[in-house]
Amino acid sequence: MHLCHANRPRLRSKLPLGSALLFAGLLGCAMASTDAGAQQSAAVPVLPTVTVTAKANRDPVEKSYRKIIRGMDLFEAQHGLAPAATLRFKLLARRRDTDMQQIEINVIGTSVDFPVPLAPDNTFTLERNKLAFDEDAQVVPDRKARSMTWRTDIRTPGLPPHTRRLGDLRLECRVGMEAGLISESVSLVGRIAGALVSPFVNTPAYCDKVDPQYLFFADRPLFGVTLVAGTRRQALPIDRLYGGASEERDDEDRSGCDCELLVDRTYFMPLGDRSWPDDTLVEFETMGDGK
Amino acid sequence: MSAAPGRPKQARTAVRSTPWRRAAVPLLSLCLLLAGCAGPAGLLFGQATTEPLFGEKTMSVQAARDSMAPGRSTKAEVLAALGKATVVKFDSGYEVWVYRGSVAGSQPTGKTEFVILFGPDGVLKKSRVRSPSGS
Repeated sequence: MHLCHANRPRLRSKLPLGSALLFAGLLGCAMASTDAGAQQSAAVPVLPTVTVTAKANRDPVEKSYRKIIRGMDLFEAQHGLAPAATLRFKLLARRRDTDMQQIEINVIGTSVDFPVPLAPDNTFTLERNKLAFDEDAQVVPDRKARSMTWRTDIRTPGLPPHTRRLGDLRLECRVGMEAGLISESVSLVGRIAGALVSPFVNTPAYCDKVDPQYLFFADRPLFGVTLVAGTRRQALPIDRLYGGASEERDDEDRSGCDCELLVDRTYFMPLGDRSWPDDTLVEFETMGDGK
Repeated sequence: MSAAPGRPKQARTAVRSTPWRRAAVPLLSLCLLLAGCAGPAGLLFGQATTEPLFGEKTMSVQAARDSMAPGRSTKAEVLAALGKATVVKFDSGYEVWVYRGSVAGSQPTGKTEFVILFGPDGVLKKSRVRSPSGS
């Protein structure tokens, strides 16, 4: 979502005389009140400043432990979409200067605090901890806001190279939404507007749309993506790749998208199109010389 | 329909309702409906636009492929042969060029995509075609 500065209409410069006098009177009262306050504070001894800090989840690089646990619950409830797969969560770089080596993650509540082991591929699982859940703990990596993004990673083992399974991706979307991993409006206004326009946009139900714009990231830069079910094959149109960049202007600002760095790996899937079974293979043709 | 009891009858407006005025509202609605159906893709009741795929209107996909060579053709050469494309540039230096349009006599009707990949060195790496059916 993009913010722009609209031209503000100019205020009329001519005020009625009565309004001007009233305004002047109020201004005078305010100044007198400030003077009185200053005199009063001079008489009271100055107390030392106390800084109160509290954990809040306004920073999108932190995620809610509760929501992620609920995502894990959803994975178990809908495991039939990907019966042989396991669930992991994944951290991905969002900016070129993000150091993705030796990241540390901790679950931090008011009294509970424990580390989360991170695999070399920056994937992790989360242990269930009742105290952390009750305290509405946060999952906190030691990286700055907007430096990374999060996804679920649900993979059926034994698939051919450069392929994914559609059922895995369907479940990735649902669990990702339930776990609150997707939060990509750049402003509070944008989030409110988004919620009003599309109440399902941040729920697993969003994944049942025929063409949801849930961004998946391939392991390598993409040149083409093809769905294969038996003898049926269908290539994704170009507007389903690169975060829809082929539909944008050259100067389009992608800083509000967590695909900022990974745009050449992004693709959308027709998740809600049930004519494609869960066992559909998603074949990737990469930009590189290998497939 | 008669006016409600106790309520004064509304005076007739000075402007009489003429046939063309009566037709204006449905006609306007129809125009708006058609405009909505046309949509950004330029489709109207499933009928494709006749926007050509390449700058040279009669060029076929095969002729386009024959006009370039992976590992040799440059952007300037492709531009000269096929015309302007929608270009997606990546930080890696790769570029994807997209040509979209109708191919004469193709079935089903719709837009064909001809997609070209240039490496960071500005030389063509590969191309692919997507028919309107996705094959």
